[in-house]
Order: sequence, then C-alpha cells, then structure tokens
Amino acid sequence: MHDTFGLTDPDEREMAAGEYVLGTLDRDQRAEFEALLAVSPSLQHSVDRWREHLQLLNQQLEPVKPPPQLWSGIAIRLGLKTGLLQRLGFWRAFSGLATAAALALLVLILVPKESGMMPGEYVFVINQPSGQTAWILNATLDGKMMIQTVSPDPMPDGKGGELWMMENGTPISLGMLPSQGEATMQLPAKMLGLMKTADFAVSMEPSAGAPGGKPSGPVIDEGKLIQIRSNTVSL
Amino acid sequence: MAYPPHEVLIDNLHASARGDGLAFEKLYRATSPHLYAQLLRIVRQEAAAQDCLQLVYLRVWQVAGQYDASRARPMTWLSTLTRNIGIDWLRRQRPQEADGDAIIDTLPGESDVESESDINQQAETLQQCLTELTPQQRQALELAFFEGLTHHDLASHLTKPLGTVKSWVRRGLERLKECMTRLA
Repeated sequence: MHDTFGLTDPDEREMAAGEYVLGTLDRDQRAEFEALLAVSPSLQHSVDRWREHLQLLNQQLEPVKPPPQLWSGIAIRLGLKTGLLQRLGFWRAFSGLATAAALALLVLILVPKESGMMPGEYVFVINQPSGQTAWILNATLDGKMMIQTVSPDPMPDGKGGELWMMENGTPISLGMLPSQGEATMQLPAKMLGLMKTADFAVSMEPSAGAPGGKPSGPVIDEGKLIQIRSNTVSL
Repeated sequence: MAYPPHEVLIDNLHASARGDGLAFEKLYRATSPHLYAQLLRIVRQEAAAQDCLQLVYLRVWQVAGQYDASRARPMTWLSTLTRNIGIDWLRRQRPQEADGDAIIDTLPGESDVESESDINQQAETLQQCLTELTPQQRQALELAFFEGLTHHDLASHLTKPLGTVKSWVRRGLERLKECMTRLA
C-alpha cells in the first residue's frame, strides 16, 4: 500500500497529482504536494491533465436547467442589463444574494411597464431568514403603501405576516400583509414625517392581528424604506 | 453529456473578462445547466445549489481574465471553480449536518439542453472510461470528487481499511487515465 508519500519518484508524483486533484490527500500530504507544485511546471502540467481526466466525472451528469430567475439575480448583482429583466414573474428571482438596493433598481427598471403595479417613491423588500423575498412594499410620499406578495414561506394555520413601523421605539401596527396577491395600506397622517427614517418590521402573528396590538411572534425581517429617485436609488 | 463548443466558451470567457455582459449571459446560458447539475450532485439541496451557482457566476465574472486556454478547457476550468465553491459550502455545513430536505433524488430529471451529435459521440466514448472502473473504484472516486472526502474520510465512510481505499483510488485513477489517453 501507499502509506508513505513519495514525491521523488516520477510515477508516485504523477499519482499524487491525481489524488491531489481528486482531493483525497490529507492535510500534510497536500501541503507537501503544494510546496512542490509551486515550483514545478511539470507537476502543474500533471495537475492540469488530471483535471481534464477527472472532468469526466462532471461530464457524466445530466444537465439541469437552473430556475430562470437565477440569472436575473446574477445580472442585478453585477449591474448588467439584460433582456430577461423584462420578464414577468421575475419577482421570485430574489434569493439571499439580491440586495434591497438591487431590487429597488429593478423595480425602477420595470416601472414603465408595470406602472399600475408598483408605483411609489420608496421600497422595502421583506426577505425571510432564508433570504427568499416574501413581500415587496412600495410607498408613496403621501403614505400609501402597496404590498406585492412574492413568495412568503408557508406559515402555520391562522398565522400571517404583520407589518410594523417603529415610532419612537414603539411598534405601531400597519396591518396584516396579504398571503397572496396585492394589498394597499395607508399610513396614518401623523406618522408621515417619520416614514423616511423609521424602522419597519414584519413579524409572524395570528391572522386577526397581534394580541394587544403588540408584536408577539418571531420577526421575519426588519429594515427601512429605500428611496427611489429618478433613475437612481439612494440609500 | 456533451458540452458546448470550447471555442465559443473561450470567446465568451475572454469577452466577459473585458466586461461584456452579453457574452457573459451567453456563457451563463450555455454552461449553467452543467454547473447546476454539478452543484446539485455536490450539495444535494436545490436552494443551496442555486445560491452556490450564483456565487460561481459572480466569481467567474471577477476572475474570467485569469482563464488560460492553454492550461484547461473552458468547462474544466468552470467546473473546477464550481467544485471548489460547492465543496466549500459542504464543509461549512458538515458540522451541523444538513436537514436532508429537497435532496437531489427528488429533482425532476430535466434535460432540455440540445447536444451536438459529434461532440456527443466523443463524450459518449469517453464515458466508457467510467464503465471500465470497478464499482468500488468508481464509488471511491465519486465520493472523493463530489463530496470532498479524503483517503481517511473514505475509509471511515466506506468502513474499509485505509490501505484498501487508497488502492481503489489509485487503481481507479490509473485506469481512468489509461482509458482517457487511449480514447481521447
């Protein structure tokens, strides 16, 4: 058996290159191998060749098309403009990688086409702990809030997401978020001044609203409104 | 399974390195089903595979300029990067062990990628090399390759002596190399 690790013998070295690419070497062997690899072009060549050989293991796999929205997430992250962004149903694209700012930008890109759906000067993207976007909230300067359901995780029967706005440290309920489709809410006039700076939160509560008007369940997400202004997003 | 033509991928990689978003999208369209399949095999959870796939392409965009066509075929380079990200994810998960939902076995077997016949044929010929391995050799290679197991991990995973496992790996590697050299 090959209990010793001999890098001086050419055949052993060649096999070690295969094991290195395969990833079976233990830490010490790996370090020893890499020390030699760093200074040996012929060993680098061996490693390259082994990568090609072992690529066969990848090549045997049946390709699986990733969900279409995955590309949108990547394109947004990189600031690339692509035709795909115009697709309807893209809202579900946003996994944990998509930032609220990126999403706000996307909202903006789509406004001309979706103006009936997502007007507003501000946006708050409500993500679940999994990173999946559950709702998108758009607000106008006069406190009208439109909520679009994206993909909330299933909740226990009789539970839903309740939206809160913090007013001087006290959570004020703005109402239950829809479990599907869209809904609108109106911010009380006295809270308009705070809207731009206040913290918002969503917690899981009984569908009839939190008992006593105070949050009792786990917080799903919290954050502030992000302003959307002309063609830019300002945070 | 056949890969897209190397030349096209190489062009797209080079163009991506220059900041060409359209070329990058083409690269994504052509290669993502392969890299996604690879990640599903490695991480075995759809959501994690998708997160990893995003990371892969964000990384590809950053490092496309480092691709050297004289050292690796484009898919090999992309797959190596993908494997590193997948196995890195796996190692970070391992202490707390995944919850096991949405495992790969439950995935629909989509295969909507068209393949070109002669490339396909070459790929099929090479696939023969995998069938020339013994079941133990193939299992040992695949466990190491897709699940990031070292010789020691393999020995405990397969409850076999270390020497036996090492010999499966070596014989498997030797046979694979011999076959690839013969047929390629």
